[in-house]
Amino acid sequence: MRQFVLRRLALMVPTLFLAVTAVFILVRIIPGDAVTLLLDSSQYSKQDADAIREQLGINDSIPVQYEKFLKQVVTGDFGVSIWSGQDVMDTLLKDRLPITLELTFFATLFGILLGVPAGIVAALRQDSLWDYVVRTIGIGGLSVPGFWLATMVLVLPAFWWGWTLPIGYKTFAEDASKHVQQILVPALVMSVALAAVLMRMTRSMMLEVLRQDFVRTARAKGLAGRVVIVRHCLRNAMLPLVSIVGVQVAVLLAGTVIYETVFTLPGVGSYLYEGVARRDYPVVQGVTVMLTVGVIFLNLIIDVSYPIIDPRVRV
Amino acid sequence: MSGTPNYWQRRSLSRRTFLYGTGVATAGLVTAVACGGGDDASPATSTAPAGAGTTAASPTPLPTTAAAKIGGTLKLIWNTPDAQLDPHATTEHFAPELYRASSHGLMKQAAVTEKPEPDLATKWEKPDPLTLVFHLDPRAKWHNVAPVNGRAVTADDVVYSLKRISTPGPAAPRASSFSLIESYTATDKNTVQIKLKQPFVPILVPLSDKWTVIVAPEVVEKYGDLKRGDSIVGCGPFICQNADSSTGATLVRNPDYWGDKPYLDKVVYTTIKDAEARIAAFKSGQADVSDIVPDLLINQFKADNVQIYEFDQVGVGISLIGGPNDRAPLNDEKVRRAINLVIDRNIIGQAAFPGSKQKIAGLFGNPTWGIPEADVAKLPGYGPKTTDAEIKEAKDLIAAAGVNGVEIVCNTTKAYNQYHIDRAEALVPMLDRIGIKLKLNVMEFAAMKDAETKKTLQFTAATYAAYGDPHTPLNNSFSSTGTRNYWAFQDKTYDDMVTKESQEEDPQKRLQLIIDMQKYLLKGTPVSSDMWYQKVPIAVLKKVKNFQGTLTAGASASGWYLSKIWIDA
Repeated sequence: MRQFVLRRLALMVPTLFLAVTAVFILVRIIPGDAVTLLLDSSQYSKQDADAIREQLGINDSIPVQYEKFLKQVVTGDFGVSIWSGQDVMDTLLKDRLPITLELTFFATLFGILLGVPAGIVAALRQDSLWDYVVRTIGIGGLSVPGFWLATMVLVLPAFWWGWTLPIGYKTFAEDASKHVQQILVPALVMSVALAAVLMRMTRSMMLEVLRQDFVRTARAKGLAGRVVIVRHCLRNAMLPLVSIVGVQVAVLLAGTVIYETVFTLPGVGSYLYEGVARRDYPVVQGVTVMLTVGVIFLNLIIDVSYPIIDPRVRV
Repeated sequence: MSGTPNYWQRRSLSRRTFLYGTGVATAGLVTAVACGGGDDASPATSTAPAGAGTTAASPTPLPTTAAAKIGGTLKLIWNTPDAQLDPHATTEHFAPELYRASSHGLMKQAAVTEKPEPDLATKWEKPDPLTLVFHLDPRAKWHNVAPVNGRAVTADDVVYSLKRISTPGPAAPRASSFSLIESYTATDKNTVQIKLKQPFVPILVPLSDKWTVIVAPEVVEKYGDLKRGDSIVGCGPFICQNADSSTGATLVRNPDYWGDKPYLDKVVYTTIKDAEARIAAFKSGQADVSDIVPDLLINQFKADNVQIYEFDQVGVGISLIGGPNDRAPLNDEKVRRAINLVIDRNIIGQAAFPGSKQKIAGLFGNPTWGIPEADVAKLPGYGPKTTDAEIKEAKDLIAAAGVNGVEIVCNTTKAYNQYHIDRAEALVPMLDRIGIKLKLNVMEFAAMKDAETKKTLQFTAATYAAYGDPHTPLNNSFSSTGTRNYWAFQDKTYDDMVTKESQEEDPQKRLQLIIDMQKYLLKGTPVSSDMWYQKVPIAVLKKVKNFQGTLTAGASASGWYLSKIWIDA
């Protein structure tokens, strides 16, 4: 196990290197820079613009910028935002990341709590009304665009009952009631697609496992139905579910760009969106590298969890 | 920073088509955010001082009605986060909004005409075309907070601030607006003298716009810059309690304010980026003032406790259709004229703003500076409907140019707003009628800006924001050296007109020159224009009294006038 983890950690180095290099290149391939945007409505000369680029350090050659960037990756210090002058990592870790993590955590939790039991019910009552209802809702959850659902959740109650989520983000310490609403409702909306995916996968896996000989044996030896399902069926169906949750958490993180905008949450997603729109290289690089590292570690954790969930993997 | 949303960018009609398509009963999901209004004020009143004389200050009287009440909180929504809060280092809108409520400028601008008005300077003189002398209000003092601790505002503070704004660099993107100023001098404690390098009448506009606020040197020294909320220290009627460039701000009444004290206890700004979420915030009573309301949806906003205001469009933004004149096929004037002839501006207007009451304008849809409506109708291509004769003439021009069937790539961007794409889409069948195949290339905003700046575009349908005075768009977008002259338009006669207009002291004569310039451009057709005179509806809770509209954002009253608003709760 230890060797396995060490091997995976070693593999992370080239993965991370490729990922951050891709980030560096992609940020610079997209046309336009902060100075073009800063001066857009002004009357200025090319010399004026270049002088500002020089002062901001975005006129350096690409190799020089890349060297600086690699140092930043190693030290974890991505400098300050071109626009706000605020330390990127400081802003990320203190202000933005907690919101996104909280949102993603609850979205994942809701997805699991809704999707897995629904999938089990659908499998146990295959081809019943319950099965059809659950599968229909599941298809709906996959089909409905998340941003549309989010908009409906915000707007319809406002028109029908004069109510919508509290505006102006509050931390839990500032206003617990508002904070809970501001996080849990978006998380619930975010979880819909995940729940649908998990429901379908759980149903499919459960149906497969339920037809296995060891399940029949377990039942034949008189184990209670709940024990058979939870201890024998579900545990065997878990492995692909865990893999899917791992992938879906990365998808959820990417989705925060949209959800944080719609629900006006000042998290990592909106920070990244603003950084890209303003061509704020330190912000974009800092956020993407941090997310990349996060997703790589998440996958490592999932890989490590396989043998725990299913001891046969160790063999 | 026009990556940052200005009036045009904020006019977002996001997801409209999709939401309509779903048949959701709440058609109120559409939103458009835009500029405030303007009125039909006489052009003669624009760009004070009148002539070369003296313009005395006339303090804006507070409402005399007995109904005016002290207290209450005004809840405003703001639609776009700023990158930071230094008003001198931005062309975004939130920072100056806050500073104009919590501090003052040398001058300010009228709510709807954008006419320069007294602010810290109670009067000013222009002893000669190169000299401006401003007399400051001797009562003015800074907030009673560290490090200024209520000290008097001095001419040195004004000079410091103006130099800070006009020193080129990353912290002063508007420095070019002040490039014709030779010197700033504090001649005594309350007098500032500005010397120009050459006569330049529109100089009062950058001196009075909302970004030109006065800051105290010791505040800059203390914080290093003014980018964060805790560095907002001013001399205005409100004190900034907290502010964040991306989430909002809270202002409270300044108990030691030296001028007419504000009525409101508190003003709370909440930034909401999503247009539908802003509508929901207003409908749920969490905001007292709405975004700009799309005309088709006004009924959704009507309620017993809501007043719908309609403001004239202000600003001197321009909306253009065309491309560089130095490459095929637009290098042939016949092609440009043909395009101009077949653009049906009414159809485009309705595609962009469904249901709105609009009249076709020339270059500016601004009642103060635009070509009079009767004259607009006489321009080729500006009639109420494209006629068969115009189509035939356009076809003949295309045939003569030998470009029938040519494909043109039209850049447009969603970041401005959906309105631009709607407009570009409406163009496709119009140009198809004369054998031009228009292919749309929807770009990300900064990428489109890059293409414009590098002049790598072939054709565009875009809008360019400008405020206060038409000199900026007329110069930047069309003069030979204009930064926004993406059309490669080089015309000595026109350049001379720009110079003459910028030096004309008589407001009436200057207005006539500006109208002549617009006609010259539209006749020569370096690029086509589509603009409308239209009303901008804003929903306001009736309890909000003395609402005066806004210059920059339909989502809130301008910081200049917050002290005049009261709540009748």
